[in-house]
Amino acid sequence: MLFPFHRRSEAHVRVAVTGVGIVTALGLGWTANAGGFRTGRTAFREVRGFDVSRQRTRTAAEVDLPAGLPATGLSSRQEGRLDRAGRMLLIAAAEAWNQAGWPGGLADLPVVLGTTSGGMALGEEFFRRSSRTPAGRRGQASRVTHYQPQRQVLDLMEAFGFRGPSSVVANACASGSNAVGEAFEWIRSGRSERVLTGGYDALSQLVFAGFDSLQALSSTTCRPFDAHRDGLALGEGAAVLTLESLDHARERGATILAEITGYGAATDRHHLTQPHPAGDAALATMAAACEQAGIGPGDIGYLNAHGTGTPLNDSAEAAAINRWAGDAAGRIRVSSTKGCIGHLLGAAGAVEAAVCVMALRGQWLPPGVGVATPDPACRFHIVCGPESTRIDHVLSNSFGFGGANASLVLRRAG
Amino acid sequence: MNRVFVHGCGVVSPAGWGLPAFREVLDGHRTPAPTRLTRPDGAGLDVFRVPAPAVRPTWLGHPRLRRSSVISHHAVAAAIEAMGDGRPAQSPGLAIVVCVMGGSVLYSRRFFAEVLAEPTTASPLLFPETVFNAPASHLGAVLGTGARNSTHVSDQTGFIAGLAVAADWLARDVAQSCLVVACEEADWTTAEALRLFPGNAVPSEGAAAVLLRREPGPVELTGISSPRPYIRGRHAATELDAVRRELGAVSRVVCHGVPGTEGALEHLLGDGLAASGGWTCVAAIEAILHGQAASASALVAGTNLQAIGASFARTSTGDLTLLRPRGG
Repeated sequence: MLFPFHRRSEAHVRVAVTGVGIVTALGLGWTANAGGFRTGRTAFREVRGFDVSRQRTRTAAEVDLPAGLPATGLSSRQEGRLDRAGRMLLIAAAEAWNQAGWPGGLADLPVVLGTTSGGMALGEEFFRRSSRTPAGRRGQASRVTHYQPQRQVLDLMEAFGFRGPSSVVANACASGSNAVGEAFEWIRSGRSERVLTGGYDALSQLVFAGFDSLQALSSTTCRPFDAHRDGLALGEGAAVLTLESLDHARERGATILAEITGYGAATDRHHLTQPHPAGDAALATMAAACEQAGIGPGDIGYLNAHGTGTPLNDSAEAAAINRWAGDAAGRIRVSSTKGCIGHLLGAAGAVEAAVCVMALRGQWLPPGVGVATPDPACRFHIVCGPESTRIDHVLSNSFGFGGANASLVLRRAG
Repeated sequence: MNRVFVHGCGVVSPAGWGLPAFREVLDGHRTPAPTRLTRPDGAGLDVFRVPAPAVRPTWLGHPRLRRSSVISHHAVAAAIEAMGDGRPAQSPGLAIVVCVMGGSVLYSRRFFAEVLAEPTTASPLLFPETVFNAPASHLGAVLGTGARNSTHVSDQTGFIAGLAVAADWLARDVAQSCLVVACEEADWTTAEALRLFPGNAVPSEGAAAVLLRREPGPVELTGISSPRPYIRGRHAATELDAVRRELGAVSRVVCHGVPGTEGALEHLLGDGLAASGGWTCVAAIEAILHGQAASASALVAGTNLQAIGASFARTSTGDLTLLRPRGG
């Protein structure tokens, strides 16, 4: 039974990250991405996946996908039906699963994913063909099925031979963090020993044109927390994390990459697309995540900001960090990795959690690129170049349309 | 502390706005008729639409709802009815789980059509309303809550999975009360999509809402089955049978997803996607509230994810009038 809940422990359970898979425009996998984030490499180009010739902005951080996919339980026919989003998710999941060394056949493994669009490109093609006269019907059933995020959940189950409760969180740009946070809570509350979690989103014409219509896309370069920033850049990708109880991971001799120790979520009611200028909900999520982790702002060695590069987001987030950190603000190192890979929307929170795991593991800070003149509103230290330093705790922020706010706290393993 | 109780229900359906109209359909006193939506080529598609409200709800004047699509109106109406006041009460600690399958299809279709025609003039007013969590965001604003608010995408089983999310939040003291809402709006694109699958379901629209709390109420959520995903060729009817067995014997069963099954609702209200899962649960709860059953199960076989079920039971101390809609 899914409810009433069967809890393995009444005490709070420590949660370990034992596998990370990541796909971004910087490359496929941990090594390529760690190298790119550590040095602040950028990965933007003119979009090739769809027509941007009539858009105000034409660049994004597009992933170069390989022709083949890692060997899983999916047949070649099933693989052939995957769209970009599904392929990125599968590649990231395979890396995480293999790194964790999880077996196949897990009978009751929960999976919690975040996305904003699922297989949106297939939905777009469904609409194009349905709108024609006469309407084309060939392949339409498959497009409808594979456009929906629940199909991507089933694909993961079939690929890795597991089944269990599933959840697809669609809280706009906080979806990935919410998914990782919900997965963390599954284990922390003793409901499960392991959870597969992550986020994924592919670039799509509808979403690209949507942000362009809002004039939210930078017409220059994406420069989070720069005084002269003029907008965000879009990207695509996926990250998957294998989470399990620390005791379970230790018992089976798994490598502990990091721990997740805190999660906070709240809702900003100010506006559908604009954050409250003082960042009230953002402050609440940072405070809640740190309280759960049992630490204060002064303990945070690095903060991976939501930092989209839009004037409104970054000023609200800066205000929230300033208020939350108080006197400790000047000691907190902050950057946004969106300057390297763009805003990955529903994947952003999961990818940024993966970056935090890499930073904790390697004891380096990912620089925010393009920051020539730090916004004077920022009382914290903006990481502008590669840094190596000891960090024990990191905090990752994600804020989305609709006022979805989420923060995660991660701790160095050991 | 695992016990969770139902403290209110709300429905928007092709029968109309509110539980009384929904009950008339359940009792066989009313039969909604499908209407026709027109495809771009002029062909018609049958759909069960929600009729216009007899009186314009005052909450439609909320600034957040000014540009919103009807999916948000459905969600807000069902939620306010479940809250029991007939008007939006400010509820700062109220958590919200919203479940969708199709989501904001009307504005998505309109916006994408504009993009294909001329992207430089595609409306920036439409795009924000296309995101899955727009209804949840509007609902949070109307009800004045800054607590946890999450939108989940699934098939018709999403509402019952959402009940589990809410029960977990309540058990962990994330919130003192939690609204679970499923909402949908009909469009020719969803009608076209549903037509591609077996079953000849007539698409539908609307919303359902259930208010859950840990403090005792007249109806208890007694169980949610393990979800049974459709992997490796598993079939909906087989999985639904397994769900029924797992939940055990009850006095009344309400179903969605396997046409012809006893207690099936879709022949009355069409396939309202995520909303159908909510209607199934509310129908089970209503059977208890109206003394037709001491316990009831809602069994849902989704189109393309899984089968799942929830069971409810009358409590010994609860006051059933608490859940009766005013004027109903």
